Amino acid sequence: MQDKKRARQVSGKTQRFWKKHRKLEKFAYLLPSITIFCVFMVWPIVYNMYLSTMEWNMVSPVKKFVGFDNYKNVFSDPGFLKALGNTGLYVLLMMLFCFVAPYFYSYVMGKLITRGAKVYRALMFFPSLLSLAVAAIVFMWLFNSVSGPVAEIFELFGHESPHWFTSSGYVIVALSIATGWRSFGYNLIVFLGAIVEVPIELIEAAKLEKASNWKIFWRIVFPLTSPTALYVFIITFVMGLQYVFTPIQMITKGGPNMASTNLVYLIYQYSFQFFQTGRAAAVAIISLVIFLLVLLLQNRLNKRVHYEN
Amino acid sequence: MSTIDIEFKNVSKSYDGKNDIIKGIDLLIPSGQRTILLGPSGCGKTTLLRMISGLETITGGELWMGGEVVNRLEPGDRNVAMVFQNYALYPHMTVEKNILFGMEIAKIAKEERERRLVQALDMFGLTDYRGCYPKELSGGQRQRVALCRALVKRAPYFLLDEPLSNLDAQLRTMARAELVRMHRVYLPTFIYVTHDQVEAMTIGEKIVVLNEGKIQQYDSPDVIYNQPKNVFVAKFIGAPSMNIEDAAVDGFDLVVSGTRVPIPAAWREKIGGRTKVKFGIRPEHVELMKEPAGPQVQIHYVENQGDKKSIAFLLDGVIFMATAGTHFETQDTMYLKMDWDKMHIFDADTTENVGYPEGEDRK
Repeated sequence: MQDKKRARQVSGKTQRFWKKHRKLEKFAYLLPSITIFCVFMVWPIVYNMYLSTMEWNMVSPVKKFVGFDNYKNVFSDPGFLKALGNTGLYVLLMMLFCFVAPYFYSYVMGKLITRGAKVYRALMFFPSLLSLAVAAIVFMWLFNSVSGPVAEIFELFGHESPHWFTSSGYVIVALSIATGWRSFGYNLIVFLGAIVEVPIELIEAAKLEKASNWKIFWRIVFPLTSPTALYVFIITFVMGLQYVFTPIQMITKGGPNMASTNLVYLIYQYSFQFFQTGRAAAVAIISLVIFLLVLLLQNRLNKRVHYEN
Repeated sequence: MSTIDIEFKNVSKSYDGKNDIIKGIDLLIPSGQRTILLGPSGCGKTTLLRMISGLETITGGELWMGGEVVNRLEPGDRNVAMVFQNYALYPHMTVEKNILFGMEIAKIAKEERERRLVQALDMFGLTDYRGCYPKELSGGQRQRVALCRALVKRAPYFLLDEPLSNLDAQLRTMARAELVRMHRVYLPTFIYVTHDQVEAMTIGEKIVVLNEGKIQQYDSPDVIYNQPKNVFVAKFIGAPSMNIEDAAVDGFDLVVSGTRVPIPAAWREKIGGRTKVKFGIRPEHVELMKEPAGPQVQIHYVENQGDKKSIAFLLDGVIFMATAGTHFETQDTMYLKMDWDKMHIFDADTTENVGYPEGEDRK
């Protein structure tokens, strides 16, 4: 009895405390999220900014402040410019393989064909179950310029296979195909989910107006699936920056002569191979700015997207 | 035959190659007329309509439109306008864009597009809603936008797939009148699918009653109501439904639920040598009296429908329906007086009508 009373008194006390400090209560609820957000997002960025103004090799106890020297060095480094250009190429190719292609493919599968859609869907999704490392090895053998099946096909037509992984230009295409193959199916499923949501009557109504499949896509399916398209567009962009890292690391290590490197791989090399931590941090910050620009673009596009609700 | 008539010649449809859901339809739909395809759900009425539009393939027989076989003609080449049950308005386009869409694809001149648009919006009182999106409109307004969109196409065939089923009762009555008015102005061939017999009777000039993929009767609303061809049509049209009971023919008498009545002379020839028939009578031709003027019946229940009363009663243990005015007072036991001239006699086996005496006014 006494205990209960005391308990009530205590709870009364705490209630009064929280009533007095309403703002504190809100903060208490937010605390776990804020902690995680700060520790894993804000702090690394801030620390990275700090590192980008230092000269340090990750082991030395002394860091030397160099101001913007790291940035200056990065921009005058032909390797960085090469990586920046390559990243643009990767993004472009990934857009082709993992945004444009699955978009049209899902339209065909979802609305134009009546048979076998389920089988295609399963087959197309299958590569997404594999890890990127596996995809890299598979394509390393497929594109082997001496004995790979692709080389054999070239031979069949009397041509010599290009040296996919050792000639610049081809290497980006080959690595993009490997990454694209692995990620195509996932994007396809996402697109398909949006496209089957487009009511069939809308397409039928357009067909009665003699609208071509192409027009139906552009004037009806595309606007109605644009929220999904925007999402896939963004993740494909990120793929172009990030996902290609695995095949680069597995197959070419950025070579030949930096022909296949990209920003993310360059950061990795600077920091963990050359131990130029400051420079790596500077490239990371530049990459971050590029990401931010894309996010701004997304915001702009978002205003033009048709959301059903 | 006018060249823009629609004709079904032994048309059938099967999804699995085994069971026909449309079973050999022969049907001539003359141009410029409001034809209703009426039947319960699953009877194939929407399938027939979609065959005309080209959105549904035909697996047997021939469909003629405008003097040619159109079985393999693409929907866009058939020159049909269609109103869908859920209106199928493009949600990302304004009212104006929705209506213009088809005309833009058909590359109709800009001034002409605008002229038709303004005219259609005006006709349906939508002028103020030109810039609205479908989600900002009420059900009735959406339905009218769908009509506008179909109307501006100026197609000779106008197909409507239960266009009023998503409207409330009051709007529906208004929309029915609007549809008829629209038809009178433009006079396209109007093919209208519904399961609502009131809609069919009020809108239709001709009604095709369908059941289980077959045409049950094809005639004017009057004939369908007053001279239903078989038991299905008799029961499907009219509310409350027609009373249908097995009856025996005994000499010159008809025996229905233990009640014996002499067969009117004009009917004897129609009934012929049959000894068993199905007897039908509409509830409005059944009268209940307080005075013992006929067989005694027990009142089962009474439904007040506002404008009339539906009365269910038991005649020798069998339920019959009658209708009467709202002032009609019932008591537990009443006496039956049927308008025997208004009866319907169907063959017991085929359920087909045996016919009606000549020259009789069935209304």
